[in-house]
Amino acid sequence: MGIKFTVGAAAAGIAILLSQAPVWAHHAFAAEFDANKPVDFKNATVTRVQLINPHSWIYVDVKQPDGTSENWAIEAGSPNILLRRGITKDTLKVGQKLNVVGYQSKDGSHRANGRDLTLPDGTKLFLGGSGDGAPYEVQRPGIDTEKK
Amino acid sequence: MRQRYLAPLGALALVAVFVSLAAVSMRSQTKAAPKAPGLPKPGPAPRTAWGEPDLQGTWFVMENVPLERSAANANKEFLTDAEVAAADKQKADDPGRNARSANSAQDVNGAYNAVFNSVLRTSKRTSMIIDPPDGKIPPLTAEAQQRQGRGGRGGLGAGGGGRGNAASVNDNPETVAQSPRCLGVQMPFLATNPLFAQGTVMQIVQGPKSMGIYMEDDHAGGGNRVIFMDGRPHAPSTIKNVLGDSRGKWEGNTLIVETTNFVQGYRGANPDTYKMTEKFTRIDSNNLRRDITFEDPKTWTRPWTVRIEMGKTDDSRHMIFDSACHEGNYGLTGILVGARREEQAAKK
Repeated sequence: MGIKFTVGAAAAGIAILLSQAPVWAHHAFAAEFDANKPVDFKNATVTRVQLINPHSWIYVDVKQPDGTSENWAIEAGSPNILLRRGITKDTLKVGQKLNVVGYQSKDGSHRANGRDLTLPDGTKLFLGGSGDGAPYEVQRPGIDTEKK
Repeated sequence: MRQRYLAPLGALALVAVFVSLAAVSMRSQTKAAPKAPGLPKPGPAPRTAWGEPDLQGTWFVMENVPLERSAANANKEFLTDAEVAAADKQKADDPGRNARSANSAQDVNGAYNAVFNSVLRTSKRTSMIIDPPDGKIPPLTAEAQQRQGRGGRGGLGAGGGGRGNAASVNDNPETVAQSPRCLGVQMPFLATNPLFAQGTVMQIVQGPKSMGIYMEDDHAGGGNRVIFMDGRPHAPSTIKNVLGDSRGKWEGNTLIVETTNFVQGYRGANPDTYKMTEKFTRIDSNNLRRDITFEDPKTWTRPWTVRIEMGKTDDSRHMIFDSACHEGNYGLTGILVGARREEQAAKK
């Protein structure tokens, strides 16, 4: 874990330096997901959304070259943060198309972390509108608000 | 007789409150997100129907304050307005986790893009620790240095509640940290992780003789404390709780809560001699101050105190997401399987 933590800390880079404290999510994602198995799903179809602690899960059908489809579970951030940004279960609907970039779980099952989730037109998923944020939150252009 | 039934009744009332809270939370999800929340107009601190200060409500950590004061801010308790503004501008400009790394090992640890994190405004206060005045955890006693196998100040890190050390943390479910196992939040419940500080929320429900605090630290599965204020003594020292055993009493407008009987002491303190004393003061209708003094003569050379300022927002945000937690089904398995795969790969 020591080594993983170091690697993780490097990845978090500036954000962590700014916050002045060594911080991390509740588990090292490298323990669960395989850096050598990136996934890149275009136009996946949302089949189920679970906004649930500690992490949300978004299920998507991914079309295969042979015409069949595979159902993948995509791990995403916690519902509490999303809720405070005004994001509810209606924000992402079943049937909606979604692009997913992430990493598959090490056990080889159809699970991946959702490193980047975007709509097919490139719009960031879960972009909170300005003012939707919880009190006193710093609004980051392109992350919490539309890019200026 | 009245006293005997008070505790179960209190617990029942607490459950009822949380159940109704969950129901409200679910109902409200079917509506569009409320726009432009603002703080309710501040007023004097309200009082309960029975005349005590009313601490009830859902309270948020509003600003980012590091636990200990950095070397850069030595001898400086507060930042200037200009320094706060500069720090916040830097945060707003920072892509944070939105920046992808070319190194996939680093990138996978980024896990999710920055929209899943919160970024609180910078506080003027340079450390949560207000005593000792240098804003640092006091030095360890000689015994604690030996017990913890380390010298210097501060003691062990906050710890994840698992029994594993860094090398063995993913050995089995018992050694994995508490939160991936969904065992709930831990005491003392401080927002020490700025990326998730926006999720550090507590809801207080209060009666004349007991008080309940529901704690959510973003995603760990919640935690319920019951604080008895009816003068009963602490549980026998043989009874230990993860969240400790809390007793409260009013001193003026401040509720003093003493908590002992912990399974684990904070930052490696000795659970048998460790005690935390909280002071809850509702400054006005919008602001709650929580001061916590940590004491353990076997671990620290002197007591130390942190200050946490919490605030409210409008009623539409007075809710905590249902803490139902199910990553035990996925995340924990994934972590353990991943660790075994790594071991197999290392043998080849």
